[in-house]
Amino acid sequence: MINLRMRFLFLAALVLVFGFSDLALAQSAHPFATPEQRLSVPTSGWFAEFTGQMAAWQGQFYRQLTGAVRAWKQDGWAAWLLLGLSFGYGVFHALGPGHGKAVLTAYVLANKETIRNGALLAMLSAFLQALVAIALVAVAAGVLQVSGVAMNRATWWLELASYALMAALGAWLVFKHVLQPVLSSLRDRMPAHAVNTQHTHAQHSHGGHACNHDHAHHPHTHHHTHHHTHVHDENCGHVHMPDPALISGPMNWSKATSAILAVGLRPCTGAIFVLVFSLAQGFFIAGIAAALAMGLGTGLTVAALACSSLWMSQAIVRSDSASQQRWQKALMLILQALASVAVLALGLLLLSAALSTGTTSN
Amino acid sequence: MKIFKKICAGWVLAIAQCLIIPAAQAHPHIWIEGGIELVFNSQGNASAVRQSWLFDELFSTYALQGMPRDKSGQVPSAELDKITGEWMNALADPESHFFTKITLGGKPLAFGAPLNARSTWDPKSSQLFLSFELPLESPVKIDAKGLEVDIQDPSYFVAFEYKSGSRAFKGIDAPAQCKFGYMPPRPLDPKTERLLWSIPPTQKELPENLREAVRQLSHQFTVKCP
Repeated sequence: MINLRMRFLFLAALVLVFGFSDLALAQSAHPFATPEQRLSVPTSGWFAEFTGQMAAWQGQFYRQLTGAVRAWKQDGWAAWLLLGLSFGYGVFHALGPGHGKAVLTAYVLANKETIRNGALLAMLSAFLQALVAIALVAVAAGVLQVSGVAMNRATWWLELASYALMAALGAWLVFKHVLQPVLSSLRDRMPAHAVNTQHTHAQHSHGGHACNHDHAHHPHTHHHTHHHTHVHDENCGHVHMPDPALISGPMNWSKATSAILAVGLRPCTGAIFVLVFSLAQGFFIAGIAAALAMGLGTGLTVAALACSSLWMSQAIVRSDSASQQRWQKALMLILQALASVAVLALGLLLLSAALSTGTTSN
Repeated sequence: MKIFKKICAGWVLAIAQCLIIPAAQAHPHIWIEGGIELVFNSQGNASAVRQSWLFDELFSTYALQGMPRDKSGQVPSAELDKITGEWMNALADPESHFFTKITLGGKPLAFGAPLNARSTWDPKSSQLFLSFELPLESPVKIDAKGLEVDIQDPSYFVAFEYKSGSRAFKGIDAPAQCKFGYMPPRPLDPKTERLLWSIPPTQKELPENLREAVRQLSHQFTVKCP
């Protein structure tokens, strides 16, 4: 069992590392201005060079979108072709490098969201992304008829807002899962609080010691107490929840909204391109349908990723003996802290990158 | 529950693998169907590389978004000239540098500012077409070792295609004995790939043998005049 858990932990770390492999990337402006900044790998050559084979494959796929828009214009049944291609593009897009996936996964890990909430967050942020793209193109290109350069500018502002929110969210997570536990464990060492030390399992993420009293009455439930909820301090209702609580539980919407906005505010370039193209073809509805189908594909894929990382982290904590529980809990806390730091670091990195390219590329 | 866990673990592994492979990949957002010609002067020396780029419909439409059109959907040539000028400026940056590398006998050749840059727009196909000429700093005599032009966007933001295969590369006023060749990008052999992965990202310069190997990831156009 330990071996299995160790493997899970390893995998969780792996997902985290690869989710954040974009951390090493620096942004710079590409000669052809688009809503997307070029992500150039540090070696500016070999590292990216040999991934090019996949580009050819993706090219075939993405470029069928224009044909599909035209086909739908001719024949209503061809709508399915466009929807299918867009959905597939969304899946592929989510599996490729992208900060949205990374931030969302880290957020649900750090926050120990439930499986259901993790999936919901992923879906909602992907749909928001699609809606932002639709609104942006409808207003900027459809109504105001601004140039592509102006749309790049608008996308840049959305990007900036998204990254700023991400950094703020990261700062809050770090406060909650790194600073607060450290401070409270320091406090617990003081003699006046010595009586409370047996309850150290309650120290984080639930607003502190208000919960300790509950736990004292239900010692048998301790190993379930950390998985699932984000209800506020006044309600420690997580204590009695059995395993299903890991799957569904209440969502803290004020927190969730900032996470959804942080990921969803920045529209996907592929969606913008298809929307502008369908608008130019006088067939905007196809673009809207395509953008939503892309959102569905991305949302489902990110949901799968977020849920798998939650499953892994939960598998680490699930345990039978008390001695195992302790170190597994410690591991879980470390994972949470790491995920929190990752959100903050990624937010700051992307923010600074967006700020540095903003003046030159637009 | 145990079976469920096993399924879950297997699935997670699969996802993790999916993540590892494309993690290094940038999304291409622009596709270019290219054409390339090598221009020779009256002494039979190579003097310039002429390129033509046909952009994909999505990028073309986006690039011309919001520009005035006449009744037939044509964009005024003044607007097209403006966008061409912007591109030529941007492409001159040292990092991308027209996505073009020219070598003579393996040694890099410098080229000057682009000439005759021009864009046209076909409303029917929704595609932009760009052509320009990169003049070599001084015309060179090509021998049996040959001249090579490598085309590639190292960031993979632009994906190039040369559809006409070996006929994609032509000479203009080329001496009769010159042979033109084209090699599309080809995947590296597993051993080279492992070697590449083993180099830390902090190392900026590739070792000589690997540099030679990764050239095959570009579109390679060669001319040999024995």
